[in-house]
Amino acid sequence: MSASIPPSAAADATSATPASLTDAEKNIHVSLTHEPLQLTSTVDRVRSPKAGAIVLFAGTTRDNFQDQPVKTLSYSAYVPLALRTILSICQSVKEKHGLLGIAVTHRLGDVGIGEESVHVAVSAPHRKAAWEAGEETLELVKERVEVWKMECFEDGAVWRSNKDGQRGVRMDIDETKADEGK
Amino acid sequence: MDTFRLLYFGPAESFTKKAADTFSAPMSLKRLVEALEERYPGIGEKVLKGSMVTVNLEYVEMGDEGVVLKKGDEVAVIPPAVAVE
Repeated sequence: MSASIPPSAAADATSATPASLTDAEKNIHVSLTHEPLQLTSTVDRVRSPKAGAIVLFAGTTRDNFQDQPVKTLSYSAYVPLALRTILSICQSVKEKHGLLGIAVTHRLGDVGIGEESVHVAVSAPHRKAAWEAGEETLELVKERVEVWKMECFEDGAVWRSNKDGQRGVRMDIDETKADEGK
Repeated sequence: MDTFRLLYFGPAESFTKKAADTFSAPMSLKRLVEALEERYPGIGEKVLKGSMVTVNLEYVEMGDEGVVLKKGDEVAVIPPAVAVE
């Protein structure tokens, strides 16, 4: 699915992934997908002949939480709202840092250990703006976007909080994994 | 019967063990919170406290007594967002 701005045009909770919002004029690309993320496609979205730097951040899934082994991780989202929130973050960061392009893509569903759950790519005339904008974007995505992460351990599962290292909300041991998108 | 949908995400979905419920419309947000407590005892303390609510993708204050949910609205319980490590 691809939609032009305004994002409300894509406001459908039952939207199947991959789902995306693109502001082609401003070179802003936002997407959510159940498929493995592709580094080159994320970077290609922000290429520009005016760019002197592209910064790419790839967030990967750890095999432990405070030394407790993690079996699997699973992400779920309120898709239309998450797309809208990421787009709004991209718009403000792009303007603040004078970026040429920005792309954010987040993976949903089960993500294998060591695989990427999120990509942020930004292009700018000079590297300093690109470094700073990349970090700022990632932090805002972690803080605000309507995506939830579940970590499954040998003896149960938790919804992990957004603060690094903070204890999550423990689910019942017999809890089956929440179905997404229904 | 006129209705609106309530969507549950993350910890809210785990607590109710379902992705969505349907309620009759119109209904005030205040009344919805009471109805949820009746249907899912403990949800107020364990989930709703600290969560936010959206109506048609716009955030509203959980304590806003002026909010009335109308036929066809898409309402959602949004627990705190999580990390993308």
